[in-house]
Amino acid sequence: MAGTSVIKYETRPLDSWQKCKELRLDHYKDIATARDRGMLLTSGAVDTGLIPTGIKDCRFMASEPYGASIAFDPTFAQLCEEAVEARGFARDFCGYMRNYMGSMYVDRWLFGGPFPRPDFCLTIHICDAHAKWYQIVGEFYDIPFFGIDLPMGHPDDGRGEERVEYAASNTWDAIEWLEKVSGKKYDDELFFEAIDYEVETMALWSEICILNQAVPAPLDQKSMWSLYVPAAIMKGRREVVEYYRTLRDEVQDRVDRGIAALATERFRLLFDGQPPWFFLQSFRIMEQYGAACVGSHYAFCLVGQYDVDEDSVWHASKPMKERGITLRSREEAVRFYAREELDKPFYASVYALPWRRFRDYLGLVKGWNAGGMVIHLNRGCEGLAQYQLETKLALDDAGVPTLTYEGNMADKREFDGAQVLDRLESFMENLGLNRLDT
Amino acid sequence: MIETKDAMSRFAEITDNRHDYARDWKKRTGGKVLGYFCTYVPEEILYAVDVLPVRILGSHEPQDVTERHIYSMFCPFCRDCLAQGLQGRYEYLNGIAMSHTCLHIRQTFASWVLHVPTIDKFDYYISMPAKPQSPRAKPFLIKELQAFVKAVEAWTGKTITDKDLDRGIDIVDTNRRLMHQVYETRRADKPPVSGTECMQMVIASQSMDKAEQNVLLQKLLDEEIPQRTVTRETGTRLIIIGSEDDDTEFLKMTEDMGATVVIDDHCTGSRYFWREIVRKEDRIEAIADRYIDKIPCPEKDWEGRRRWGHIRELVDDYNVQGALVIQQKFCDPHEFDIPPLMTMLKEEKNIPCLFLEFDVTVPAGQFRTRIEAFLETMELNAL
Repeated sequence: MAGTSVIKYETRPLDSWQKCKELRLDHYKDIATARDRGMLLTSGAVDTGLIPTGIKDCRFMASEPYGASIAFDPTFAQLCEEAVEARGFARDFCGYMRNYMGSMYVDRWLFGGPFPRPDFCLTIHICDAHAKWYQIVGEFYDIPFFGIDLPMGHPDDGRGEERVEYAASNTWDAIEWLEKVSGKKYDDELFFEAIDYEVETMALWSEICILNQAVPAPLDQKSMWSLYVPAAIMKGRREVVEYYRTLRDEVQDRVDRGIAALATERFRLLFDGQPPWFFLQSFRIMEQYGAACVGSHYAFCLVGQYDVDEDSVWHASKPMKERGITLRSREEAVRFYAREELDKPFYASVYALPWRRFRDYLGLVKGWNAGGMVIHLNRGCEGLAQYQLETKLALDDAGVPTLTYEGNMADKREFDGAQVLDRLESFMENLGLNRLDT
Repeated sequence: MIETKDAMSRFAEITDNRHDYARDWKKRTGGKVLGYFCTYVPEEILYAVDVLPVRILGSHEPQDVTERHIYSMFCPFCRDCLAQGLQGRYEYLNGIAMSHTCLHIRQTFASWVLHVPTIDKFDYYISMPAKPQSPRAKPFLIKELQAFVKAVEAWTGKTITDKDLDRGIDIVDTNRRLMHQVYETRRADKPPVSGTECMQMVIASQSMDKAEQNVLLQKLLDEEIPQRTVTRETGTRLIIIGSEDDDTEFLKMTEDMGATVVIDDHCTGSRYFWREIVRKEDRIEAIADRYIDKIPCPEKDWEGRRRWGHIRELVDDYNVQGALVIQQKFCDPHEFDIPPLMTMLKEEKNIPCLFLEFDVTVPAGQFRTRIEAFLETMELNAL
């Protein structure tokens, strides 16, 4: 039903947008040419990226964001997915992994040229797939592989210190292994510096996400899918900290001046899961009804660190200096790294047992003033799809409207766009929203 | 307990009526029953305190009660298990436990805690390392098991002494040893026990008091197996490899087609009981050693492939001619392992493989055709 045009807020493009794109593309060029320039190349899950920073002239390729980049190009994605399936692997595997491995098998790099063969693989093991993924990559190239086990459990069972110790000792072993396979001495000072930058990056991103609690929201979820990428693929880098300082200042300025991501914002929604990367126009549907999608647990937490208090209020973490922490030894550093990983809401409410998750999600809804949540039941990522329906039940109990649709973040063959649009439109109408003429 | 049936018939009966068995056991002993998921929960600690551990399994019946808790891209086994809880079939459980394996069954554990109340409201999650190959895993698991002992003590109100742990280890290890001996008989040219019977034996072990089963197993080994006359043809000697598989009907159908499943590598089979505990002064350390060194689930088999060596040995020791490689649909860890595993079996051992994907119910007609074709092809190749 057509309604009335309601422009409520000033809006304008982000000044920081172009820089974000440049950082990302420069990084992928850097990866593609690293070995030609005499550098070492390693690859693994996003959160591993900090650890190789202690090896001078070693580049890290984060696997999931590369899989997501491929997903944005459905033709190339299908080529990759079919290459994986042709080798006998299942279609229901992690979508990012199929894209990454397919790109490896067909020896084509999304950004041009052959797939950049790593010298060795290093990954944290957070969902069932990660270590197994790099076991396959390691065997394919006949290169060394090391996995860091992050222990699973109940985040509030009083066993946290043992888990930190275990993850820290695994990280310690990973560093010694890196020295062996790289033939280079691990520079602890470089690692400390990278941790410092990483913690500040996470604090800045968290601050940016919390700024999005403002009405009108200065950022929309669709833009945030791109804005977190530099922090995911370039761990512990000064230029990334500088970028997020600039972005934070710009977002703060938008809040101060009431500049909106969506000029017609009159309703706010949250999203759950990774998006279908080839179908981001689904977010535009919400906007046509004046519904601003203001964030998601995934986008907030993949590269963010928070304290969620007992009242479910989310607080951005602080840089190390503000926390009064200075790292003086490798032992302190690996323990700090392990604690940060296990304290992240990304771990504690997604991968561990879900008791904290329900509290955290209700805090998201309240803190970001959302009137509902769109939940992507993502067949392409079992890790993040864990507990999604239990979360929906918890939100239902709290009176928060939800919409679920089934899809796949990376495999367009498993996605029914027309049905998703229908469901989104029905959801909007059920929320009492009519389509706006703008 | 006076047994009038032969042991294998009794195991089949318990497999089919495991809930009745558990309720009866509680009535007879006044003891507590703990339901557990996967095969990394140390049953020794539970036997030490006279708790009956029972593995939570599915029923192979279509259901629609789990759809609002775990959606259909997760493995059918984890949903089938949860369905049993939601349908009230495990109402006799005093508590539940899980030792970390995969995220599918972790969801079942979480949803069970949320929606299926146990009598004592006892639930426990052991943070079993995913990387037993790391030297860091054992010290960590020891601490986890020590914490589990304390939790069980608090739950039951009993102190667990070394003597108790020795008794628990004895019961479980005897059970492992006896089942292993039964499996050993399948090396024979004419195996005296079938794959179906062995699966029922292992499921019974996961469902009944092992002390009671040990008596039956001893009788089976001493009296019943030696007296068996094997009249059926062995046919093609198969190994069944894969994820959780308690589908006895499927196995029976396969063996009715003129093949014999002589060995397996799955967690309702050899992977459950294959290694015993090497005794040590520190009992918890000894238990931890066993679970670190046990034949791994693929989820725990990295960076190296320890499971491969075990499968190679089984193929040689049991004179295997073909492999049924099965997986529960959506089981990622097995999905990673299956392509390289099948390549290894074909290239190194010249073992043909048939891959089958399992669901809560299997398409019997289609599977029958595929297995028949597989067996016929092997027979033709042999000619």
